[in-house]
Amino acid sequence: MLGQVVASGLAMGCIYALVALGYAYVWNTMAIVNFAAGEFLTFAAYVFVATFTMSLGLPFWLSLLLTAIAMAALGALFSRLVFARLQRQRALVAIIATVGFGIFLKEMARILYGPEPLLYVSPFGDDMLDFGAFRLSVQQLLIMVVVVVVTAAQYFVLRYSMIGKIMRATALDRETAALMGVPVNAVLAGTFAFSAVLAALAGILLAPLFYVTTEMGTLVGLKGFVAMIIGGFGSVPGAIVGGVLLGVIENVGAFTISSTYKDAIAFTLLLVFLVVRPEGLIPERNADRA
Amino acid sequence: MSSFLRLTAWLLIAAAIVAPIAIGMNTYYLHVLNLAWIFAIAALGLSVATGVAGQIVLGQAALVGIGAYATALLMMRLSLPWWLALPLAMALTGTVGAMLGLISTRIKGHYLAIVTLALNEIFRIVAVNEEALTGGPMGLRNIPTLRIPGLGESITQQLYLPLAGLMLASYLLMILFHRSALGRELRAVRDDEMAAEAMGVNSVRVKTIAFVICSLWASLSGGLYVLLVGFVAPTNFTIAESVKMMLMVVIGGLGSIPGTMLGAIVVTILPEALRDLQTYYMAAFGAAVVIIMLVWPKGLGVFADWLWGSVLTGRREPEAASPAGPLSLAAVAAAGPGLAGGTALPDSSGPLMRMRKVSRSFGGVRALNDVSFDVMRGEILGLIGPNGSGKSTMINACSGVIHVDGLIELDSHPLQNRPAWEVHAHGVARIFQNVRLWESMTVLENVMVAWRRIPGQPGGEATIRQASLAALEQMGVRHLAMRQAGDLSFGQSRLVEMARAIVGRPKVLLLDEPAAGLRGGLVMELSTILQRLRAQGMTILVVEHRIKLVTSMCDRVVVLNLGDLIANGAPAAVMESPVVIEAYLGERAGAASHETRARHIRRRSVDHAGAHG
Repeated sequence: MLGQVVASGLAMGCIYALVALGYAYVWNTMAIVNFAAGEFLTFAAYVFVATFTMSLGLPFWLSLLLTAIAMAALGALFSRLVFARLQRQRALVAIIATVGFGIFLKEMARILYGPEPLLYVSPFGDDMLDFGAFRLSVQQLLIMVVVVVVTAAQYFVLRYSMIGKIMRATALDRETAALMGVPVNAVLAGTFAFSAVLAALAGILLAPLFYVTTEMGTLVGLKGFVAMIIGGFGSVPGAIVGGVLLGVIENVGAFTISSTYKDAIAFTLLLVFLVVRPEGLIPERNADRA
Repeated sequence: MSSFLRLTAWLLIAAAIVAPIAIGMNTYYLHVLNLAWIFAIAALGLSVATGVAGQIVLGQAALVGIGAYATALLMMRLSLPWWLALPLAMALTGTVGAMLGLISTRIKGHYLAIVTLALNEIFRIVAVNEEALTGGPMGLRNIPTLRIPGLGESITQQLYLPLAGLMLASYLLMILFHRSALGRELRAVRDDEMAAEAMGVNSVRVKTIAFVICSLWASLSGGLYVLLVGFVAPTNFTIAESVKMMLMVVIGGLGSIPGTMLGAIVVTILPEALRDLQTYYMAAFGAAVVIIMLVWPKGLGVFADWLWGSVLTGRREPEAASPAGPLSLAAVAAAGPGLAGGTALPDSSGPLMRMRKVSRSFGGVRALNDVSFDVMRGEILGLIGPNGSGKSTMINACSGVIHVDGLIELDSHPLQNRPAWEVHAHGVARIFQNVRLWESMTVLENVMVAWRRIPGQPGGEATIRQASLAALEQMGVRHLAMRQAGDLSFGQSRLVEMARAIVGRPKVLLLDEPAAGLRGGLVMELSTILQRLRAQGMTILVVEHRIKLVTSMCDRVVVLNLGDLIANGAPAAVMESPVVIEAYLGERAGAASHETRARHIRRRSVDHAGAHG
């Protein structure tokens, strides 16, 4: 039974890892935390389910691609219009402004798609696959596969491609990067677009597991942030490790301690980490210090 | 004219507050107004913590909730009367606030934002699940409400005027607090925490107070809510409610207490006025927050601050005529009492400050390596050395800004690794290499924060003010007293920072490149100023690059290179020392005559200073 609990915790942890990865990328290039990440997730789930799948009747992969493109565009636009201007401000101002934008996105989802929760049935069915010690639904397996692929892809791109080098250069020293001819603003917008795509993926993958509601992303967004702190503020491998770990601990805790307090477990874990190991599991050099 | 307008505005406001009762407005609208007054009180707490003290709190609704539940439970379970239940609930919430404050001294910024959000969510989960205590999702009903029979028929009417009055009184109280000594310290911590600590502000105490104030107003608001409606449920205290309160503070302009009141009224009443547009209302508010943050950070505070006038800002100093020159230090120095060329060392007996084996590493770099020297009472000691030699690290260690290994003593009090404000209280003041004033505060307030109480001497607001004006006068910048510190030029800021450092009559003054940014002609006058400060009983440790300045003003010089102390003695002798020459020029001693190399040093140092200035 515990194997089962761990396995489904892993699936949820992969979602947290996706969101946390988005936070880490944005933090590294812009030194801002996007408190609207959860609402990007919500909005993407609505766009995917309501617009592309239900209204237009497009197949899964096409809907996914179009949602990713739409969210990337929204992310890039938001980055240029709002986020870039918050850079010179105190952290306080940036936090409040992104919280404000989160409300805006959430409410826009409600205005555009209505207050009723949407039910989305996974095109892969709800079969359970038996692995002996535990069983996973196809959807859970899909989540894990997607996260592994994304993680590997971002690693290789960042490590070996020119885009990766440009991104890392911008993250390390923006002024110098600009002087060396790096189109810094485009890189920043691109990074933000990428983090929006990560949130979109998380929303699309979560849609069949829960109803799609305006609230679906709020807690996932916060827990993704908790995952990044646990892993190490701004650390890319830390975000993945922290996300997976949070998912597993949360599920095991809900199973062994109390399922009513499931949501409180993540935050309690955060408090414990802030006291015991504030720099996180895999500390990043230019982290925001607690 | 302005005061006439202000009076008219206040009369209109008073009329607007009384009118609903006078014309017998329908109970529903009265209820909305009552909620606006109650929310304004909750937002007031947030305005102090986030706006004034700069500590982000995204869980204010939970604090309101604790106050509300505690008031309700004390009245229902223990049958306490409201006038006992409410203060007890406030005391309880205040304790929670104090704990939050202690947390906030360890974690900042993003961490504090997520922790307060998390605590809000945990509060909601507990309130929903602990049915035996909180009544679960349905909440607590039939709580005894407050009745004042003389004031109308329904509770809504009865409580309308008392609530409005209480709200106004609480704002007046906080506005007076804002300009008090503690209020100044809060703002100093918000603007620049490190500078505040170095200038004597105990940031742990101040932040804890900010959080206690925040939670006291929150719980008062929660308790009043219970007494008004007789009902509480977890849905009243969600994260969304916390964000709504943050909205009130932001729309009112972060940092403006009067603005928060208007913000609260707008955020509560506007959705009722725009009922047909209800769908778009929250979306519009979300967008409004972003836009206000980006383009109109002062929000409604512009109008609200004007409304309170001098109640908010305190008495303004009459605009003193600016001295003849732009910053005529010379005139001041000449006019100053009892010091023309005074090289007499008052009470120059023995060491005042002792450093023993002071070491500090940053990563693998050893910035200070077993440095030991004394600062004699009443001397002006120069601390020089090439870039990266550890001079600023030494100043930071002496002022308590960084931790070190080793011993730093002032009059045999150990100072190493003590909090910066304790070091300041012992009589060590400093200026920073890159000028760190609290930019949103006035010049006078900047200086007043750093005032230090010396036992046996009078305190009090008037004394502090006089001493601060005198310090500004001494630096030749009294005419800037009422200006906002962020508006000054670099040179002016430097002089204000000097005034801030000397206002507490420190025993030791630590100056990190005081001449940087001063106009050429003023650089030499600085020497006169320092002589004069020394005559007033201050001992001065000064980091400086310009050798000419060092030789003219210092009694003795200590030379650092790559974290090691390499020379210590009279300026002229040190300049000729082969080790020093090698450190500056990087060549083996003996290749050229000492005289040539000493000349090189002087030239190099001057270039160096030029590059910095």
